Amino acid sequence: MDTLANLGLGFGVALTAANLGYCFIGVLLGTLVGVLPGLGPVASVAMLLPITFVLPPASALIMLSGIYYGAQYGGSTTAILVNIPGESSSVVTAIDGYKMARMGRAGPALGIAALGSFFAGCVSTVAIAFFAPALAEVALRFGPAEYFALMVFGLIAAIVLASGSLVKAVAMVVLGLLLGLVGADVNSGVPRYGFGIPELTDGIGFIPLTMALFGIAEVARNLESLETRSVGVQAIGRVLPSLADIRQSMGSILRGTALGSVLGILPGGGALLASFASYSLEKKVARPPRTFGEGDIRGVAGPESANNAGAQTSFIPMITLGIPSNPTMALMIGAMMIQGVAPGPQIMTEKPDLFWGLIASMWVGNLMLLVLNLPLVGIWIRLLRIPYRMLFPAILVFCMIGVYSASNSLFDIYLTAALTLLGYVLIKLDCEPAPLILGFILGPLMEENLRRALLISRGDATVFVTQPISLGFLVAAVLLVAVLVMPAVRKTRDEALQE
Amino acid sequence: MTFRLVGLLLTFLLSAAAASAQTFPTKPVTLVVPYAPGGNSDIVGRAIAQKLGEHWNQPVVVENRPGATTTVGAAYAAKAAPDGYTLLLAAPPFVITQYVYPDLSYDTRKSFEPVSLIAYFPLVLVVPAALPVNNLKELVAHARANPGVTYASPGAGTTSHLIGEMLAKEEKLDLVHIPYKSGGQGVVDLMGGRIGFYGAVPPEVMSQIRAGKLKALAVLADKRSDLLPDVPTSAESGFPYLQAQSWSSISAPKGTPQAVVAKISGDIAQVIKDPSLRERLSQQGAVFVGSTPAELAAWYEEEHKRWGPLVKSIGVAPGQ
Repeated sequence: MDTLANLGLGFGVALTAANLGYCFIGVLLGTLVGVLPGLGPVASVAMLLPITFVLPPASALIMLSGIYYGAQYGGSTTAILVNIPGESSSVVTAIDGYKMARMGRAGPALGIAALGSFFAGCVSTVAIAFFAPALAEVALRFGPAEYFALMVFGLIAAIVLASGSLVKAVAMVVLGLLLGLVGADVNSGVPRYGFGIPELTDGIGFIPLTMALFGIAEVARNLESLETRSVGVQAIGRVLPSLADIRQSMGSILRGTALGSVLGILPGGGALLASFASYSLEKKVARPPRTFGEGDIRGVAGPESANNAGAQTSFIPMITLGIPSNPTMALMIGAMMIQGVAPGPQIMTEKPDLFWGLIASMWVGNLMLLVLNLPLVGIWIRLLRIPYRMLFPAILVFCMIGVYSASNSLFDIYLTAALTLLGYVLIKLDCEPAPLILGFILGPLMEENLRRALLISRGDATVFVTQPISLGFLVAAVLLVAVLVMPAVRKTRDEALQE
Repeated sequence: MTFRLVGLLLTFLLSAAAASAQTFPTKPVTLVVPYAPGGNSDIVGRAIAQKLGEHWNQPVVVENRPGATTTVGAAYAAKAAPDGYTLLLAAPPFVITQYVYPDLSYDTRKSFEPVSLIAYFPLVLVVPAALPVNNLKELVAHARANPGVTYASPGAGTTSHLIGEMLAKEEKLDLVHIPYKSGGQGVVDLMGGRIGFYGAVPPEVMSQIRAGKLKALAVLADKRSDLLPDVPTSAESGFPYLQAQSWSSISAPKGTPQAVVAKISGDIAQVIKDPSLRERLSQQGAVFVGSTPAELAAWYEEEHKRWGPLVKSIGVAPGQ
């Protein structure tokens, strides 16, 4: 079989001592930078990009991919330990992961995240190796109408399956949509809700928003409690997940991997939808579901697998079509250009060693991530033993460094401070920030694609129902709403939540 | 006596200024790139920063200050100390935003000293491979026969948008502008046949052209591109007015000593001869210039003339 021979060639490239070394350095650097709050994969890759200029193309790409996975995993680490998601797709990890950490189960949470990511990485790498060109064609079929329908579906799914009060979940999604409206309108360039502040022309940044709503608001909540000593995570508990944990998470990991592999292919929001969708799905299938939101290991295993699978398959449009599916991939394309390699449809035939070497290195990188991170889990959770009065100033300082370094903007620091007030109010009102983030990210994308689809069709709204893919998502969304409004189902849902 | 003192002082000051230009730089230099990392301008900025750093034996630090179509970064650079230690990587929006944003805190002409035009990147006009047109004339005929042909751009007020407006205005066509947040998603829709055409910077579409997924109809410049030697220019295709390029230049805050400006300009002209730099950027479709400050000033004026009236007439104007 051709693919096997090609994979052999790939492993020949990836397993040379030098490339193994670069892969390891990449994963290590990525993990170290990624665990700093606010420094997610984009910032990490951007910071470390110049290091790779001096390397040969294959090594540079292998190292950059290592940085990418490392930073991705690092972002989940902070989500679990201090409630600060490093990037949008680890927002849901923070929900149950952080609860687990507060219950003294940070170790199993980090461990299952590493194991789930490894499994998802292996599976999706195989998917890339065998199906990359075919999958790339799927991405091409997604135009504005299809994206819009997908996002409608995603948003409704998130509301239907959200934890806690339905009204509050809807309110949070709407608030997120409103916050997402800030900034220049893509079609006309007219700034909305900008108050004449140039920094707001590009909208509210994701990093200030998540830092404020998750990280710093959480610090405020913790400081409020009189017995500050008890808010930190005291009991360390097990360092690694038990067999029972793994058995419980197995199904979640499998489902997360499948969802992530499929959605990751779609440029723009695919990987994010994957982790949210996985969380919703796990919550739906879990028996009993009440433990979700209270530190359920499946709430970490599923989204983390989905997010890593999505991270891998997001390489597909990049290497086969030359199209960046997210900002990190845009940076990778930049790095390849600098190396004199043009990513695109012909790369598999022109530079097979590079293409297959990269694919093989994904597997190697994921293995290294596992080998590197399982021992690190012990160190990370020991950090939590630091008394909170010493830990929280460090969290604040790192948050500020993360916010500032993202765009060198002092304005973003003030913005973070203002949004922290909002975050604190939301905590007091018992409103969860995760649906807000989903609305914040999907809202502008939805609007953009809706208007683009209508522009292309010259105002003909039937475009959403005449395209089969778009129609399918919209029908699914309507079915979900039907489930929601059916009184019997609503009753069961309420009962389930009250348990 | 007093005169002699003043004279001495003057001589001292003058020689100090001359010496400072000769020894420039004595500390790290900041290059403000008004874009997020990873884009075309950022790649050029980082490449030139690295080579200047080696040349000067002082680090040249790239500082990404993205936001509001480069005006956040430009406003920051305009306010920096005019000593040559803060430079701005200026690209087409540097000129165009002047006509788009009514109350910028700086003026492109009055707040900066032009230093050097590093390179320009002619746009290439591409269509989906399946579209039955093979040159610009056929595209225009196609658009005339089918009102509402769409074209992509990475945002309102970009050169990709403006060439569409230019073509529509000159040929009296009904074209529909479809703006994207970045060129990448536009290229997906173009390859999927959902968009009619796109005036792209070469790196966005080169591999798709070579794979036969997109057709390059014309290079929008007066010379053919080394990357696409078989593709005619817009003038050869019968549309000499249709010229547009992206470009990367360096400007310094107003008041930067002329001697320092001249030194930086000369050094840029020298480092862009470096073969490794050329190889790196030629993939981007760069045509290298390394101009003098006066030539860059003239270039900016040319861009003002080309886009200013057009932007005003179509009213790309946020804040109105």
